[in-house]
Amino acid sequence: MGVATQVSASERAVDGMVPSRTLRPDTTDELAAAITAAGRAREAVVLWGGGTRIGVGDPPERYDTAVDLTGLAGIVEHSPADLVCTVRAGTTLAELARVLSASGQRWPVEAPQPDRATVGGTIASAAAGPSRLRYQHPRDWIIGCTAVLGDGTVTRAGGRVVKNATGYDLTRLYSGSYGTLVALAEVTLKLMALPERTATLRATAVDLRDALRIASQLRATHLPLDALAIVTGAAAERVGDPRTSVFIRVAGPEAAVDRVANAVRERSGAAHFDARVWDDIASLPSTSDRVARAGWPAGHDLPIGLDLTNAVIYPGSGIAFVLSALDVEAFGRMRASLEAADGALVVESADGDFKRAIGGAWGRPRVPLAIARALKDRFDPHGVLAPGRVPLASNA
Amino acid sequence: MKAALRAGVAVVPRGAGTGLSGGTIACGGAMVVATSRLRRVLAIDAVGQTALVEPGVPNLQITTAAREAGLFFAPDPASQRVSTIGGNIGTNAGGPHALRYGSIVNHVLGVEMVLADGEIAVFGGRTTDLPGYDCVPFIVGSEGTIGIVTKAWVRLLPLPEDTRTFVALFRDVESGARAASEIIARGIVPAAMEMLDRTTIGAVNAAFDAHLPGEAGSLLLVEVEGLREETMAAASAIVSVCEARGAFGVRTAATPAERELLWKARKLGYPALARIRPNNYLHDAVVPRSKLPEVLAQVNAIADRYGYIIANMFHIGDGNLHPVLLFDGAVEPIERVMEASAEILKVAIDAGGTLSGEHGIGLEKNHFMFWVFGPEDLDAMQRARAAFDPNGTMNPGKVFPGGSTCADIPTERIKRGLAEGMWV
Repeated sequence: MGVATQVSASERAVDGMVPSRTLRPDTTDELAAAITAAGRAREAVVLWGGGTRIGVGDPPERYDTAVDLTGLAGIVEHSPADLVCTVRAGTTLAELARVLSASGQRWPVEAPQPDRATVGGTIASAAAGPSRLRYQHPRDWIIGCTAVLGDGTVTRAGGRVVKNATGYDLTRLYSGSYGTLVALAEVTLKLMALPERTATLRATAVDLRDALRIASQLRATHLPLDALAIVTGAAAERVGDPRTSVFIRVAGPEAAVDRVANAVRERSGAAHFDARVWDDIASLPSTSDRVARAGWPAGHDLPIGLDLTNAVIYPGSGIAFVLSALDVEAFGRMRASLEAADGALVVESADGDFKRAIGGAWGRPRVPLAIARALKDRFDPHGVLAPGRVPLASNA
Repeated sequence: MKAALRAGVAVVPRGAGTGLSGGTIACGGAMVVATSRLRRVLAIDAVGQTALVEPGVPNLQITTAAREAGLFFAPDPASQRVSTIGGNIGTNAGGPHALRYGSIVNHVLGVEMVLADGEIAVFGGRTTDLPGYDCVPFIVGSEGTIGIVTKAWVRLLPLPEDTRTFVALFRDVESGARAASEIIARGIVPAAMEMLDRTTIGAVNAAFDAHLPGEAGSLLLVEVEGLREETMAAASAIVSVCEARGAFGVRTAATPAERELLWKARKLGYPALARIRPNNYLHDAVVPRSKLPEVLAQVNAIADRYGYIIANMFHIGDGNLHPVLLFDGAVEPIERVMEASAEILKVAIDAGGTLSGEHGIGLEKNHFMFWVFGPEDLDAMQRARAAFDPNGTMNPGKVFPGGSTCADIPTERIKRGLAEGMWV
């Protein structure tokens, strides 16, 4: 196992907390040993993939060791005829895409900075991107895993088949747990064929209201769009044009793409655009300093009072990344408005002081905190894995 | 639930009782709590494409309620006219169209649940990625072992523009299975792809006047959905694979009525098997799709060796086998049927597969969990369960091996013996 130098430990700071060491395991057993050792020493570990979403969540209560999982990289087994692939969790999305595309396949999950973001980190942090519209959640494309629990136990869950009702679906439970229940070592993914053709279009809008109108008109057609994003303000400028824009992607057999793209053009005045813009759009939230993620019931109108002057909005998924540096007061108002609409406003990245000042990175949870605490205590009995990062009832 | 906890009585949740793995059998003095009277569709949200339903609502009723808004509920287990959404959630039910749309777990956004201590708790909701652990996909498929779902937000999908349904006829099971494997290997994923073997075709024809070709050794019932251009492209690619693999005929459903008849035959095909023998034992193993031809050959060889008639009618597109051993319980011992069944499960596991694709583990297969998972893996599941139900009062004796709650059931001893390798 590689033991990194003090210099890289400072690069592994989270919310201003600097670990005393960085470990980079090369095998599942080394990962388990690192976690077991931390438990014995009553130390805390923060798991790192590409670090693109490391700022999401509350500051860790304790932080002794950064465990860098990018040493656990590479394809374990790709079975193209089964549309299934097992990868080590530290494999980047870009590397995975490169390997799969040689067989005309892909894992249909988009996340920020695919050249850095890892498969494990994407699942553990439930990363969102343009693919959510058609392919829903990353957890819907994982069918099994090898996971190291907080006490160092190496476990498997799920399997290598695409349909499975054999015991509890723990793989999906680990999705979105932000490295606080288990360390993912390997994951088995469900794949699909690359589309025959993909088209990207852009419509410019007068303002946000106009952009939202275009988006909901397109959705109301029930035509299958592959991705739909609105980009405003400085965010729009960063993808090439300061005007509020609606980006639309269509994918499938050539004839279908032609028809849908034509329908999109007729209804929105959109024109064809460079497909590479999607990686840029997806990456905007992880390349800004203070970012909040708004969530609300998909398809519904945005709750009132949101500051979306500099934002990436996925209206069909009920997700918006707010890139304008909100102050504490504005953040509080927006969170109240979203929570009143059964939504949420979560800090994606900000310094620890800001997270504390707004009353915590998360806001109102979707799970009873006593249950969350019970899960945490059983999967991670010594409080090794990023204690404090996700909402839990306080220790009894 | 509070009263049961105080009285020290275990609780077994039950929907319509159509489950096939004994998950709702109450043993050891447990109390059954049926959700059959909680049967309101509380809301259809056409804009957000979701529905809020109570657990006793039959699966098909959700689609009926959503159709006016141009939407449908995708999971379609064969029992869907009767089986409830609560039970579907309990077993992570699938159905033919799970091939394209995924099992129930892909379609449940949030639940309200009564926990073992009587507390009412809400998990998830219409908004994605709400803060905190995402327990919904763990609750789905938990087979009543952690609480009782009392409300569910489910996803609805727009009705497809076009649907094409056809059958491709093959000389035997092997050539049909080879075609199915190759369709998937080419990356073509239809909305549904079912195989019926000769035994099933005969039973279905006799029961429903379905006019399926009796000369076929197997057939693939394939449905593609989407835009017209998509269904046309997919159908022609699928037909050309089938023909290259020896299909001697392709018949397309020309009208919605013909399509209805094909699906009725498929979905009611299981009871039709009673015309051949009064009893049957149905399995639910899943195998990697590239292994289908060899696994089916082995499964059929096991039935031959034991002298049982076997019927195969199953979700071949996702590798979800449903071999049905037909027998007469009045004259044939159950021990032997169970022995043949254990051999079938073994073949599936050895091929890299698993015990259940959509029926769940329940009481039927709990001891076989050792064939798939190690003690640490099962312990991880127990940790999750204990976080919800620390006293283990919810549906005890199910899913997990061990325990004596259901030991009085006559077949328990046989099952444990087979799972522990005594008779295999």
